[in-house]
Amino acid sequence: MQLFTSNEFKDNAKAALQNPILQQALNNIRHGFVEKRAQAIAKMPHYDEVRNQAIQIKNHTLKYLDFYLQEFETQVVASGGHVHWAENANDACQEVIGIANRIKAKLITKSKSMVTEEIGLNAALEQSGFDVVETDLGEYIIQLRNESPSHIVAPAIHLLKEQITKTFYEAHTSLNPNRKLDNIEQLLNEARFILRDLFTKADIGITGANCLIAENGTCVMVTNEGNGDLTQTLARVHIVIASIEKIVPTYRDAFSILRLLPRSATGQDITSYVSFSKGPKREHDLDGPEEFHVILIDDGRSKLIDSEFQDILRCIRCGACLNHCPVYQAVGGQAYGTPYPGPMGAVISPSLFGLEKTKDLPNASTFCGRCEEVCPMKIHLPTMMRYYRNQEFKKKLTPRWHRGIKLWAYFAKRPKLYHWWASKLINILGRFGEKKGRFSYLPFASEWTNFRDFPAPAKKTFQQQLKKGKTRDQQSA
Amino acid sequence: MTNKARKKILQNIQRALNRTELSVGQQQTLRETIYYSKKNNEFITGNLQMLFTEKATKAHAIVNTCSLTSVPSYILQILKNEKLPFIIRAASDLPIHWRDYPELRVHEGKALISDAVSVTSSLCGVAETGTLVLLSSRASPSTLYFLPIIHIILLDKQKIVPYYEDAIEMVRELHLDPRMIHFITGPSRTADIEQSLQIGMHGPKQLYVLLI
Repeated sequence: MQLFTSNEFKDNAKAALQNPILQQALNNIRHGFVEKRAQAIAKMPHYDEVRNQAIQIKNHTLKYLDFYLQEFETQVVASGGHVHWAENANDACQEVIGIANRIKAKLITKSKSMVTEEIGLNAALEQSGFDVVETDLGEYIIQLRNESPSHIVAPAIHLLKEQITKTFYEAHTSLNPNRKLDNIEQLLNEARFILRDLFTKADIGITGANCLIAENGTCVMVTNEGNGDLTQTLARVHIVIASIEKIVPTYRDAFSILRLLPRSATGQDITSYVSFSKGPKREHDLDGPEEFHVILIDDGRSKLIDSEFQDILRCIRCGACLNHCPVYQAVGGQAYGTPYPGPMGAVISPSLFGLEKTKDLPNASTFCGRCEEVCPMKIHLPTMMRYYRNQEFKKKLTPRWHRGIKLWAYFAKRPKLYHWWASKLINILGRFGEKKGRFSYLPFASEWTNFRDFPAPAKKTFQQQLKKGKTRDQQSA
Repeated sequence: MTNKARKKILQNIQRALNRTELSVGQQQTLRETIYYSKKNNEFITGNLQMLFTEKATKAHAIVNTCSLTSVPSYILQILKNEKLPFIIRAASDLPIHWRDYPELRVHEGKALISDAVSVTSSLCGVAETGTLVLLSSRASPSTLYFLPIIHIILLDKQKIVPYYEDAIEMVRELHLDPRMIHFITGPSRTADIEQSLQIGMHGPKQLYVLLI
């Protein structure tokens, strides 16, 4: 199992805010993903239509998920592939290790897959003695740096090119140490050169899937770099790892999702490559894997069906909610301490890993609502985070002082007492702040006053002023 | 392990859905209504070839019109411009008489790491996003589409369809059952470093489309 640091979110976030390199890197999100998505959606007049269609498809599929999973399985087997089922992360890793041991694998190449991050596959494979190489450029970089991804679409978005240059000099020791590596193109060429060889030497190629098509047992993968196809075509054995909610009934349904996914993710109409793979190499084929396996992972998803969190199973992992979230934009993905950061992560992470391990995440939101607005699958993310906040309070997972809200509630339910107390407090604060009109320090509120002044209130409460008929409007009139 | 897990996962889903396994009749009804239902809504108007060219070009593909007989000379021109040796890896199902161009060395079969240029055909083009649809086969192995630095794709002008769905329909009508279907839109790319769009990552750095 992965080690998550979600319960250190507050410390992680503080460190992130004070990291100038990270802050510079995070700035790229606003000019990249956010603007490009807006342009792509603006050029798609039928966006809402496709969106509603995709939502219907996902809802329908969830309603008959058992049926479609079995249909998919039948079709994969008919085309010569194998289907493995895994209830949890550990079982899924064991299935992969079982295949790797059987074929005496040494080198395993991987294309980007969030579900393999979720189940901690790389660590499990390495512990069993296999060499694992990530081939997506961003994943490759963070693998070399021994970091976790900071974004579900662009895993190395938290880094600047100078940091990557340094990483490459340190990692690629077989290359000339005096070579030039000061622009992005040189970095790309070097990664291409190093990984090229590994694709052909790999015993197993592992990919994720964006959709699994039930009608004919096809796995769909979207990529831009071409690494996913080299991974699955050149290795001896291809293993697709996907969670059960990736199923769609037909090709047509997959296309509805494909019309939304790249536009919401990177602002592209479509990615460079969309690959539909089915079964192993045929008798006379000149390339392709000898074995084709699909591992279907539940890992906590089936229990979300028919719960208040069911709609999160519609998530297509586009990352739009991350890109538009003011909290994500400020602290980056690693602060969240799980593979799924941002608003989708604030719902998925507690759902899969348990609220106890991730209790800060549903609170890492200002509830501005942009995540829900840009979500192509219209998932009510703030509502679900609110459910989790409620659960936390009920389970007494919130810090003690948060329960001070009960004290406030006591007063709020007694208007007379509330007004009396509020007028005293406001009066004191107003007198103290009278001179400057603001506070640069307040006890118990240093989190605020360390970064900005707190405006001083008027000496009388609104109610008091209203009673005397001296509202500001009247004064100025 | 997997059989036990299979049973458990399906049970969990059925329990959550508050029902047991669908009856054979219910399953058949689902298959009939879902698998054979109508197309998605249509939204494309105008000239398909123009739209295809516009979209493919936007995705950094280089689109040109060319007659079938002049394909080899077009390829030679690309090789000259790129200062590459006159060697290509071509799919073996192309209707081109390479023998008439002895200066061009043509290899067939799957692509190797050392191959710089590949030439293949495509099943059809999709106007919706300027996408080329390529299948895997013995004559045209998938590695041709991903290993070389330059990929040159022939596309029959008459075979530009409006939507992705039409491409799959074409595969079905021709009774093809390829192991892989590749939708290819422009050359490979990445924006993984500082969100800066770079053309040419693991796949081809240049993608030529020859409209025949």
